[in-house]
Amino acid sequence: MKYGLHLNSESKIDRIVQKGVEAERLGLDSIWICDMPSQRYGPIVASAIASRTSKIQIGLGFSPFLHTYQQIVSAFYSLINAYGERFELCLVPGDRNQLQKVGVFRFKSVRDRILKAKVEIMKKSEEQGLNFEISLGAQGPKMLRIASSFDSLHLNFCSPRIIEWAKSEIGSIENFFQVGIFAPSYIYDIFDQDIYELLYRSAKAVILGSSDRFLKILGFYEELYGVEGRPDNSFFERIPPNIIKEFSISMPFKKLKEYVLKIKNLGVTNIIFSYPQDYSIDTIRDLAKSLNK
Amino acid sequence: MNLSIGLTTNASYKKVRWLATLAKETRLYRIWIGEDIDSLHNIFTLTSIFLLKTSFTKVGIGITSPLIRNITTIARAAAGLIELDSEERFILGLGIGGLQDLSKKGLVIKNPLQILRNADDILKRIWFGEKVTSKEGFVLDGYSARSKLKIPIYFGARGPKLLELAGEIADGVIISGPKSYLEKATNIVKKGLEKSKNPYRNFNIVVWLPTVLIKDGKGIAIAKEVVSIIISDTPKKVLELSGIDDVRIRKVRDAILKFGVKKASELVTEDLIRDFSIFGNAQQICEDLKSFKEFGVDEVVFGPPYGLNWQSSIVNVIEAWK
Repeated sequence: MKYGLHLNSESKIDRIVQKGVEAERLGLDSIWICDMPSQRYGPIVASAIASRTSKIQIGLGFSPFLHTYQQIVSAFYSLINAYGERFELCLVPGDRNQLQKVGVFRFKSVRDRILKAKVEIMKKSEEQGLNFEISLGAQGPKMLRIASSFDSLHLNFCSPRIIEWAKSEIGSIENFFQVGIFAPSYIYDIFDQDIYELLYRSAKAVILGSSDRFLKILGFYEELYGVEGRPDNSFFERIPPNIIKEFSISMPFKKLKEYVLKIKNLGVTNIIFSYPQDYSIDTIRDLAKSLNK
Repeated sequence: MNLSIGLTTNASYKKVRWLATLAKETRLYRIWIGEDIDSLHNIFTLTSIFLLKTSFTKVGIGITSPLIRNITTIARAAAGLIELDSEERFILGLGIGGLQDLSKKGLVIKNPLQILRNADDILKRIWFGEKVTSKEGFVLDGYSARSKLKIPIYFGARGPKLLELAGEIADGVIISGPKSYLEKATNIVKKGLEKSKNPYRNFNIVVWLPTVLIKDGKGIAIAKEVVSIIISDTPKKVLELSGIDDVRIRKVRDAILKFGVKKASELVTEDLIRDFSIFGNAQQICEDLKSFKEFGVDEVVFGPPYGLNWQSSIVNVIEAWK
């Protein structure tokens, strides 16, 4: 099993770099940065972290709805030339609400566009002699069905039940294909309610960003929205804890091993602990402690 | 007056690494990076590499176009770059972009003046921490970056209207174009500056022309090629104001379209090279560049194509500048 840490890029770059350096020192395998309109520009954060680390793998999440294929490839060209072959790309559709705020409105044929992005990016990067893996960040059934065209997959949820469902949707896969999870996480030594609230909000954003179809398949739709269906506005009171649990990893550090074993048996080979696990150097250390790093 | 070195995003990484080392060793004033659209490097990532690999040298983007990526990406990237060091060595240069490159991407430019005014306004509002909504041009719906930053913006400009706008609202200007136009161009910028709300603010005039070091008579062919490309991309108005014979310019332009750069460069005469580039030995180049001081130019850029041997050309010019 490989372990990664997603670094939220809303805080100042020197603070993010400090966390990246600590992640490497603690022996984590990768750090991930997602380029979203609300965050700092991913390749610059990646560059800053890479300049202060030497071996940790750095993953970058990009939406082809916000960046052209060439802009994505050129970022990898600069990074790989300057810091070596330790970068990985994850293509994601991106948060629709955030993209609409910055004037991106065309979301037709999401699946086809992501697939085309993968093909074009791979072609362009090969032309330039670049070598990096391209993974898919996916959740719903339509996206899962194209997962096998990528080098690996990052599922945006973490409960064994949904992972099992996802694997059946992916269909047959090659041996080298890696399945990972990327979920809001809070592994703690001493529980802090404020950090848990951040986890709750983070998981809530993932859940509310999920498609109706996906929520219906999982049997959450009615529990969330009742018979009247999804409200027009994004206002939402409280999401039931059982649903939050399906989309986030939250437990005392001593229990993590048990959970890891469970999902390892399902074929998961990579866990990326997402915000708020990177909340502070201490929360990163709690995670490393739980992994015996 | 300061000497800087310029390069574009099409530069090899070997050149990037070498320049970063040289900048450190010589305490170079600034490195300017121009964006060749859809070329090797990502402009922001490359800029970050220079900022991270140098400690004294300032680094500027000169220029990127707001037409080829989402304006919020430029805002976020510039915010990240200014944060990379406490000295705030970064400058963002904005311009419309090369006419040929934009047309290849199917982009038709209708009102460059409005585009740059709008881009400047939106970027400053985002960096000021405002929640920005914009219905036309750059469409935004309540976008906020939760920042409080002041990032200098320079305009890359050639035409008179853009030059005047630079004087009015920007923190500096990067001028390119024929030498016979430079005096007029700087005067137009100063006119804009006088008209602006804050005419006494810090304002930097930068001149960036192609520069070629000629050694033992070698290097003229490179100069001719680069001049033919520039001629094909210079706005008509600029050529008119320079008083350059239109017929000769048209011949070069037509030849580029029909036969390519190599053939077109055969039509570039020495007087055209003199007007559109700086060339000669290192001493002559420095004298030529320093002569712009009388027009009020604060900074000049050496490069590209530099000369037959780019490394020794750069070193020679830096030495001669002292």
